[in-house]
Amino acid sequence: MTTLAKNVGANRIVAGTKIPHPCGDPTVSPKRDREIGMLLLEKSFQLLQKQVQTPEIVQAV
Amino acid sequence: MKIVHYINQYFGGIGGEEKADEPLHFVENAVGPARGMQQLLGEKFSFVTAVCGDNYFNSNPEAVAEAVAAKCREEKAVLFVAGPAFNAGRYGQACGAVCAAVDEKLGIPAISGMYEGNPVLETYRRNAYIFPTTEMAAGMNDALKKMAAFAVKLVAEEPLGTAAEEGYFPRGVRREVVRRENGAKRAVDMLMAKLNGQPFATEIPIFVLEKVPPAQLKKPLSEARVAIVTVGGLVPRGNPDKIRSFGAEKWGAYAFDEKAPTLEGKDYETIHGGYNPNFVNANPNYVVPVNILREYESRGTIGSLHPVFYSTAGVGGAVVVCRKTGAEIAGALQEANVDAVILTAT
Repeated sequence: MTTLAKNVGANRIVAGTKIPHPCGDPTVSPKRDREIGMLLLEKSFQLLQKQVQTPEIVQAV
Repeated sequence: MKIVHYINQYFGGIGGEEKADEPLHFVENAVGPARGMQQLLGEKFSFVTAVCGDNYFNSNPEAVAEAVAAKCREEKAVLFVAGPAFNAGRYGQACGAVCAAVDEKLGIPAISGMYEGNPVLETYRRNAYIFPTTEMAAGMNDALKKMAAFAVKLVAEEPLGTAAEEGYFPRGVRREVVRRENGAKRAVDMLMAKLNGQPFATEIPIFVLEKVPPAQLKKPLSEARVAIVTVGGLVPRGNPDKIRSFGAEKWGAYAFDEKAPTLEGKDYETIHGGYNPNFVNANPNYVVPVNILREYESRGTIGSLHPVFYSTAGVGGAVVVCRKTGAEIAGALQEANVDAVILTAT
């Protein structure tokens, strides 16, 4: 749904894992699940600190 | 003549939200809404129905679009139909994207149906003939009638009128015509009608797609107060503010312990009516990632995690309502001296 986010005005977009659990993955081990969450937020922080001029969509994993 | 018709797991009779991960598969006859189309179109047409779970599509958009286009090629389809999707976000996204793929890769005309407020309409109206429908699937019969009537015209290669005449959302295609009166007269007539509160038809409708100039961080992230906002509908158990599951107009600000390392499933639930709630109900951090942000806070990556999250349910939200909600939450964030936001969407 990242295209939709871009089209309605979001400028910094990180693709989440999946709609029912964007910030992690309950189907993998708890360790990997947490790792995924950490990666997603790490990418988010990179985007936050970047001087974006036009909308950007990034994949974290 | 062959038609390929794309529908989701619900209209395919497979199941509801719990089956949204159903992979794409093809049925060699008309299923669900495709059967409705078949009844309207008659024996000259045979159908292949493509059935795909809404989550499966959104996790594999290119692969599904490619496979659907390949099927159209294989079947030598004369027409492609998707949905109708009404106001559904994920299903609308899927219908729009497969129509675009078939149009771009094969030049096969594509027909779909969406509610005028569907957030993906603007993205895809140029790639398909999308007909206006009601918001909910109760309008299925009317939608199919419109789509079928137009399908007949398309296949027979009859001359087509304007979008307004044929009834679909304008596709941005302009054809030169000669008007009876010159532009100056038409513009003044329009202005007089507008000033007198009378109806007039603009010749150039402006579709406003919001371009928001990006805000930039005003201090290092390690000094920033970061807050979580979600449209995933997470609320304290019991939904004290009674936020609606569809078309929510309210939002809530929910404080949590400044020292809490995580959010617990026993304290929260999601009331969002558009996705499988089981994962978030068991672990609210999937949509309000307090656990992850707390870790980054302890490492000094962020200055602090604001001990309040802001929440509403995004599904079925009218744009004008969302704008209002967004502005109000922004006001609350400013008052709380928040510097950056992680906004999660489902």
